[in-house]
Amino acid sequence: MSHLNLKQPLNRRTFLRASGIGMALPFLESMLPTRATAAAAAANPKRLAVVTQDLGVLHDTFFPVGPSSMNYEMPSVLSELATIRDNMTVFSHIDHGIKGGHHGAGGVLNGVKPEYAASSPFGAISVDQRAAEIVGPAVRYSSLRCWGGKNLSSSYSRQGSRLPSSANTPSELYKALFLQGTEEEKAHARALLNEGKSILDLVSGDAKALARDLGKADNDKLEEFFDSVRTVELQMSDRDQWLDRPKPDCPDPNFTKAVTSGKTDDLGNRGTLAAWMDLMHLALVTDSTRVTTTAIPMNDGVWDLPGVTTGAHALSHHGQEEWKKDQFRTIQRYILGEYRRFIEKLKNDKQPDGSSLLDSTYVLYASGLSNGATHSNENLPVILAGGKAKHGSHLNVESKQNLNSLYLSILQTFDPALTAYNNADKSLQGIALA
Amino acid sequence: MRLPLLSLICAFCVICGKISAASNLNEQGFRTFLDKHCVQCHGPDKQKGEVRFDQLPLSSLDADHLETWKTALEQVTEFDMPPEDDLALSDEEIAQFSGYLEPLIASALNNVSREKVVLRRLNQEEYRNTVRDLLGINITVEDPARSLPPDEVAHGFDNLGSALTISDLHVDAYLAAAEDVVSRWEARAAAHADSNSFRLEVPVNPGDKPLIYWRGMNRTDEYIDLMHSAWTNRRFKTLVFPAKQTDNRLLPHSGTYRITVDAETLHTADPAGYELVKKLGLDWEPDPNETPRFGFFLRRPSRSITPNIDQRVATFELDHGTRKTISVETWLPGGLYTLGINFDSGPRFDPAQAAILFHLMKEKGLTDLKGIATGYDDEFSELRNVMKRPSELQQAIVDHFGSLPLPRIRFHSIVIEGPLEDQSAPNTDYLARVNEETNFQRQELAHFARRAFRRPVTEEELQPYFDYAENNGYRGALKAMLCSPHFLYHRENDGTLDDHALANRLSYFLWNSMPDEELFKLAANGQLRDEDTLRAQLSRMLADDKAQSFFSRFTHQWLGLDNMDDMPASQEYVVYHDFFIKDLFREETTRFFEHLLKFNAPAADLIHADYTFMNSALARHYGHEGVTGSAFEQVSLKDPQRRGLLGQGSVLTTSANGIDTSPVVRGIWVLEHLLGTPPAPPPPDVEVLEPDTTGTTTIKEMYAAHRTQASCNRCHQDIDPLGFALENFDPVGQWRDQYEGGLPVDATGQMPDGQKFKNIEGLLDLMHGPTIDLVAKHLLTNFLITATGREMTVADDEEIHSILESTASDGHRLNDLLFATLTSQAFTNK
Repeated sequence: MSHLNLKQPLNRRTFLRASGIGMALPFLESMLPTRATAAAAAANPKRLAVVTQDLGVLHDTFFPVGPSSMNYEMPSVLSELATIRDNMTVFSHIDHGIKGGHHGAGGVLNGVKPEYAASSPFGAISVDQRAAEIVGPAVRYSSLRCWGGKNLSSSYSRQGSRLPSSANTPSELYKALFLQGTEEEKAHARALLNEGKSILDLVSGDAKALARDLGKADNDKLEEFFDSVRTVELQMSDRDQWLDRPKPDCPDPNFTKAVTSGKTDDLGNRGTLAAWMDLMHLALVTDSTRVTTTAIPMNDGVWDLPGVTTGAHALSHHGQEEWKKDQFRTIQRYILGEYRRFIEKLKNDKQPDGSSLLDSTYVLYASGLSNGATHSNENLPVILAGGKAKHGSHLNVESKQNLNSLYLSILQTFDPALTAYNNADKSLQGIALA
Repeated sequence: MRLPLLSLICAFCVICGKISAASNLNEQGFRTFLDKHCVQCHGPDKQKGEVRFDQLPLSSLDADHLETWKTALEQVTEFDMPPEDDLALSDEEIAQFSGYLEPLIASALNNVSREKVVLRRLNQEEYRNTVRDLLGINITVEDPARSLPPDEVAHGFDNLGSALTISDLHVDAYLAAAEDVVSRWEARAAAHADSNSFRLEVPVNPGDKPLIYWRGMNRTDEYIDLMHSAWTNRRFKTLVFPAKQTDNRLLPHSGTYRITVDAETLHTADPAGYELVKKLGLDWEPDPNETPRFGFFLRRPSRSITPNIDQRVATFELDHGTRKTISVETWLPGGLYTLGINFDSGPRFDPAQAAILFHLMKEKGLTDLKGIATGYDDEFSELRNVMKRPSELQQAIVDHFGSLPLPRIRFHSIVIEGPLEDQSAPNTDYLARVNEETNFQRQELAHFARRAFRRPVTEEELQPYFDYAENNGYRGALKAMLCSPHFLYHRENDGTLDDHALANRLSYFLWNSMPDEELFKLAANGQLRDEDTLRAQLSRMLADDKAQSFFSRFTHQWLGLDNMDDMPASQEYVVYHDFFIKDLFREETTRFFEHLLKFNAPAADLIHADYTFMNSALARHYGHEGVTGSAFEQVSLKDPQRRGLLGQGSVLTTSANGIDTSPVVRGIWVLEHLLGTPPAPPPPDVEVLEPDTTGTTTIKEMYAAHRTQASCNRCHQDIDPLGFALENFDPVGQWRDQYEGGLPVDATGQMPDGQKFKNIEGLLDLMHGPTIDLVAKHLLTNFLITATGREMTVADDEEIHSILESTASDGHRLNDLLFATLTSQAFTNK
C-alpha cells in the first residue's frame, strides 16, 4: 500500500513519520458535485459531527416522558448529559418509518433500509455525506468516517454505496491528518495522481464506447461510472493542491504521544471509541474536515467498563433480567459520556471571532434501533446538540414527521437554498436551526 | 403438513389454462367486491402486509401488480383470506372472485416480459478471484479487494446488477487495487529471479539470538518441546518467530517456500498425560486418539487492518511416538509477518497458570486442581508475584513440565527455504522497455486485454491502449485495463447471449471468476450450446477447486448464513469461539451441499439426509462420537434429530441471534430460506413481545396471543410450530432439554392442518411430497437469481414450473436442477 523502499528496514519511527501521504489517497476523500455552493464558505462555516450506535436504548432510562417542554426530567442514562442540557435537544417519537430490526438499523442516517439503498426512488445519500457534498474542497477531507476495520456504518454515498471507514485504525487517521510526508513521498503521490488522471481519461473513452452498445437501463447504470469518474477527477485536482499545503500540527501533544507509543489501536470498544472521538475533535478544530461520523459497531465485544462482564448485544437482549439491564445502562451511559466530553471540548474551542466551535457545529447522536429487546425501529433515540439553535428542550415529535425532516433542517444550515432531502420536503417543525 | 403449497398448484392452473367458470363480475363489480371484503385492511386506512388494493390497477399490469393479484387469488382460494371467520366468503363469492381474476392474470402473463439483468459490476468476490486468475497472484493473505466498499445485497445475493453500485470510492479503490495487483504480479517475476536464495534455520537451541519467542515449553540445547495448543486465544502464545515485530521482514519475497521440520511426538497417546491435563479443570477434554499434528500460522503486523487472527499456512501430521522429517510447500508473503507454530491436537491450557498449578500440586501434594485458583487464592497470587519475571516463570514451567509425562511435540530442527522456482512467473520485462519490440509488446497487451475483458477485443478498442502505452508506458496501460468498464462490468448483449457472454455467465456462476482457456476456446468455437459439452463442462467446473467459492458463497447466501457474522454468538459460548465452531458449521454445510450436487442427490436429502460432514472439533460440539481427525469426513447420523439442514449448526445459529432463540425467528427462517414462502411483514401497529427470560413464563405461554388473536394467528399458525420444533437447539446449535433458567424445553407443535408433532423428528416426518417441491422450487429460484444476477419475477414462473415438472419424477435431483438452470431461457438470454 505505501510505496516505501522495501529494501530498507522499517522501524516504527519511520513508519509513523512516513505514510502520511500515500495512504491517504485510497481512503480519504469525498464527493463534491455541488462545488459552487462550497465557495460560499463564510466566516464561521457550518460543521457536522455524527455519532451512531445500533443497539438501541432502554426506553425508561433514555426518553423523557410527556409533551415537548423545557422542564423535562432527564431519566437515569440521559442525565449523563445534565451539564450540557442547555446545549442540546432530545427527541422522542421520531423515526424513519422503516422496519427490519437490526437489518433496518443501517438506515438511520438516510431513511432507507440498506437493501434498498441502490434502488431508493428518492436517493439514499446519508445526511453526513450530503453535508460533505456541500462543504466540498474547502477543507482537506470533505468527510472523515471514523470507525475502522470492516465494521458497517450508516454512511451512504449518493449512488447508494455503503461507505467504509476513512481509515482502518486511529493511528492511520492520525497520520493522514497530521504527518507531512517526505518530499519523495509527495512526488510519488503526485506521480500516482497524474497517472490516475490519465487512466481515468482512457477508461472514460472505453465507457463511451460501451455506452453505444447498451440499452437504456444499462446506460442508466453506466451513468454511475461516468459520475464517479468525474467526481474523482475533480477530487484529484483538489488533492494535488492539498499535497503542497502543509498539514496542521496536532494540537494535542498527549494524543500524539499516545499514537507514537501505539496506545490508540487494538483497544477494546471503550478505548477505540474514545480514540476515534478524540480524532474527530482534532480534525474539526484544525479544520481538516467539517463533517465527521463515527459508528459504534454492533458486536458482542465486552466493553471494558466497571461491572460489565457480558457483550453489548447480549445485554441488549436483557429478557428483563436486572443485571443485564444494569450493565447495558453502564455502556449507554459511557457512550453518552463520550458524546458529552466531545461537546464540552468543542464548547471550549474559541474561534477568532470569540464564538465557540460548538456554535458552528451540529453534533448528532442517533441509534437506528430503538429497543434491542423488541428489535423495533420505531421511536429512535436522537439527540441534537450545538450549532445555532434554541436548545434545552425535550421535543416530543408526535406528528407524522420523519427523521429526515430533522436532517433537512440541519442541511439547510449548510445550504439555505436546499428544499428537500431524500424523502423529506419540509424541515422539522418545533425546532429552528440556523 | 399444510404449508402454502397451493401457490405451486394455482400457478399451474393459470398457466395450463385450466380456468374456472367465468365470473359475471365486470371491473366495476370486482372493485365493489374488493371494497366490501378487502379494502378495510388493505386500503387507504390500513395496509396490512404492506398491501393495498384500492390503487392496484386491473389493466396494463406490470410484474409487481401481477405478483400481488396472484397472491390475492391464492390466499382467497385457499381460504386464508379474509382472516376472521365471521368475514369468510361463501363458495359462490370465491368463485366470483377467482372467475374474474384468473383470466385477467392469464392474459396479463402473456404480456409481461422477463426482467433483464441490469449491467452489473464485478462484486468483491468476483474481483479478487478474477485478478487471481488473470495475474496468477496469491490472494490468500492480502485481499486485493480489501479497499473496496462492501457490496450491496438484495434478495439475499451480492451479485444483482440492479443493487450493485459504483461510487467515487470504488473508482479510487480500483485505481489503488490496480497498482497493488500489478505490483504483486511483477513481484512474482522478481521472486522467481531470486529463486532459492533464502534459507532460515529457526534456532531451537538457546545459544543463538532470541529469534524465537517461546513460553510454556520445555527446552534444552538440543530441542524444544511444544506442549499445549493455543488455538485462537491470544493470551496463550506458543512458538512464534521472529520474537518481536521486528523491523526486518521475515522473508525477502512473497512466494512458495518449503518448510522442513525434524520432529517427534512424546506421550501423545499416553492417557496418563491427558489425565494430568484434565486435572487443570478445563472445559475441553483432550483426546489421546487424535492424530498428533501441528500447524504453521501467519500473524499479521499488529497495527494492520485485520485484528490478530492467525492464518493457517501449513499443517503437519505425525505418528504417535516416532520421529520424522517432513516437508510442506506453502505460499508465504514477504513483509512484516511473523510465523507461529501451534500444537493443534495438543491439550489447551495457559502455560503460566498451568505451571503455577503444577507447582502447587507438587508442593501441597494435591491430586485434583479443579477450582484451585479460588481455593488457594492467596498462594496463587503470591506465586504469580514471585514468578512475575518471565525468566522465573519460564524456569517454573521447565521444572514442572519437563519431567511430567505430558503430551508434546519435540522439534529438533525447523528450516524454511525458498522462494521455490515459479515456472509460470510472468515476463514483466516488456513493461519497462520503451519503443523496442513494439509488436511483441502489443501482442502481450492484446492478449491481456482479451483475458481481462473476457471476450475478443477489436483493434479499435486496443488502439487507445497502444497509444497510452507508447506515451505513458505499458505498466500504466495494464493498470488502466483493470479500471476499464470492460473489465469491471459484465458485458451482456440483449436477447440470446453471444458465446462469450454465455461463457462469462457460466464461469462467474460456478467459479465466481473469469473463464479459463478451455471455456474461452469452447466459446470461440460456439460449442457451449451443445448439451453434452455443457454437461461435461459442468462436471469439470464443479470438480475444480475454483468451485469452492460457489459452494460456500451460494449456501451462504441462499440460507442467509451472514447472520452468523452480523449477530455473532455471545462470548459466553467460550468453546464455540475458541474452536472456530462457526467456521466448522460453514464448512459442514458447504461440504454437504457440494456432496449433494456432485452426487446428484434428491432434494429430499436437504431435509432428510442421514449423513453429514464433521471433523473432530465439530463432532464434539454436536456430541457425536467416533470422529478423530481435523479433516472433515462424511459421517452417518444415527440420531434422527440431526438429519438434514435443520440439524446443522450453521442453520440453527443463523436462525437464532447469538444470544437466545426465538421460535418466530426460526419459523420465519424456515419459511423464507428453506421453503421460499416468507410470511407477510407484521402489521405496523403490532406491539412486539418483549422477551422475558427470567424463567417465570414458558415460551408457549408467551406465544398464546398468537393463537388467540385471529389477525396474528393468520401468519403465526404457519410460523410458530416450525420454530417450536427447533427449540431443543440452543443459539449455537447444541442440543438442550431444558433452558438455562431450568424450564424444560417443549418442542411440541401443531401444524395449521391439525397434524401434531412431538419434536423435530416428528416435524421432519411431516415434511415430504409437496414440501420437498417447495424446497426444490426455492433452490432452483436461487440458482437462477445468482446465475443471472437479477431477481425472478412472475414472468419467470412458467419456466420455473416447467423445470420443476421435468425434475419432479426423479425427486428434483440437485445436479439436474443446476443443469436445468444452465439451459434455461433465463440463463441463456439477457
